[in-house]
Amino acid sequence: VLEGLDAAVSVLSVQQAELLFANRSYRLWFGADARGHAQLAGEPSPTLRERGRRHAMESLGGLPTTELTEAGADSTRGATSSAAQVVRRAHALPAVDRRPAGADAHRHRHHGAPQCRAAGRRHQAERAQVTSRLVTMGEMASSVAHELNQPLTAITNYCNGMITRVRNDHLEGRPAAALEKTARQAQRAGQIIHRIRAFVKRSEPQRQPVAGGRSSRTRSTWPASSCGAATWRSHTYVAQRLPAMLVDPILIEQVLLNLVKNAAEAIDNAKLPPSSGATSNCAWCRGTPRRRGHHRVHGDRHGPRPARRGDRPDVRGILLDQGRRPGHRTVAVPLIIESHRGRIKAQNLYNGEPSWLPFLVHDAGRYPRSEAEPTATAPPTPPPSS
Amino acid sequence: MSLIPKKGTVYVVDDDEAVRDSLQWLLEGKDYRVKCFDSAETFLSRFDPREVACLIADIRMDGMSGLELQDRLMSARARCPSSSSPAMATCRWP
Repeated sequence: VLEGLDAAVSVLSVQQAELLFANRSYRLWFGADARGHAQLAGEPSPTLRERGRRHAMESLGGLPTTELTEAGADSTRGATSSAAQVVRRAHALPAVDRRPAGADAHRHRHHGAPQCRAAGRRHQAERAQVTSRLVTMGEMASSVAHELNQPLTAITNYCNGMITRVRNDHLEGRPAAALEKTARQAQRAGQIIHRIRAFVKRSEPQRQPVAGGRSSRTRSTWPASSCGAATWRSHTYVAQRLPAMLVDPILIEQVLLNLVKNAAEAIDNAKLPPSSGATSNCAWCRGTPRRRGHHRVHGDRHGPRPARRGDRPDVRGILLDQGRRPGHRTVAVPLIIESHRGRIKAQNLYNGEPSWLPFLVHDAGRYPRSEAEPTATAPPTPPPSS
Repeated sequence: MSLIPKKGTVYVVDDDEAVRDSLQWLLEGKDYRVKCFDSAETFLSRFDPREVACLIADIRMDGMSGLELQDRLMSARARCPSSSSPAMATCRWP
């Protein structure tokens, strides 16, 4: 996705000022020069170093507090000509190997007639939509690839082990057993593919108008019934007068169930004491101003955090998919959201694991407000005894 | 002729049973002694730093991840070269 952007995007190692990544636009503008962004902005190159130092002093130990695409990132502007302006977004982030790094994005913003600006905004919005879909598809592909990788790795290992034994004439032992295991792993990979194909074949969800927040109300009580509810409480907030959504209610409830289940497991695994007062808050509300026409499913938590990072799973994401073990859950959720023309926003938790924040499109124009929820905030109801 | 381990010990830490078993099959075919563990915590509880060995650990595991395991070994100054799967191209020497 970054490769196809018009903006020039680069990631630099803070300490060595080494170019870790550069997209096509960056390479076009600056080649392999790591100081491209700094030169364009008329800044000396140590900016990244300073920013890395500043982040290292933060309480989060240098992990990102804002996202590259959000307004909170460091933003500077400069003019390249009378009709164009360069907007720069910079952001410190931890690289995969934990080296502190900084991401920079540069794009040109042209001034002109209002019609041109409106057309430009529309064009940008369309591009943003396409990019967002690509991001979602990328997330899905990544999850599928990871799930498929396990059986394929096992097959490769079994086969290579067999080849070694044949070459060394060491076939005594358990070659038949190894072949059977290989076949089982091939079946496992086939089942994964079959499951995904079966899901994708259901291309058009059975859409119907659903009152906003109804699913969250029915499902948010689930974790309390199945995970250690004695140590924490669950609260649900549903915004007032949410427009109805045109969705497949079964699929959307499946999304919520999966996300809430992940959150419940995360809280349960944190093994908080009963006196901790931990509270999970589930909110179903309108999208942010940047995402008008969307419902936002948001989760947060109040209460003490686990003592040290790494000792226990972070429990911040209540309705967010932890993504710790990508499997059917993490594959199914983006597929469902995507099939509803919704969006999933990836973000980092404090422990560096990705989590997803789903946005759902509502269709307020076609469905009268009376079909939506009349008022808000239902307290969690006791789970049904089974 | 039987397979007699003689090249050294390889620790395999992976929560996927098939990956563990297949790596054991592969490495034993190359005359390595293989010890498998289903979690980083189990490995640490049984790890003998005096033994000459190397480690192959899954990056993504429930509980402690492969990278965290490497950090723990490095902080304990355990001389055990380690590699993370599936990104096996990287090899770190504590």
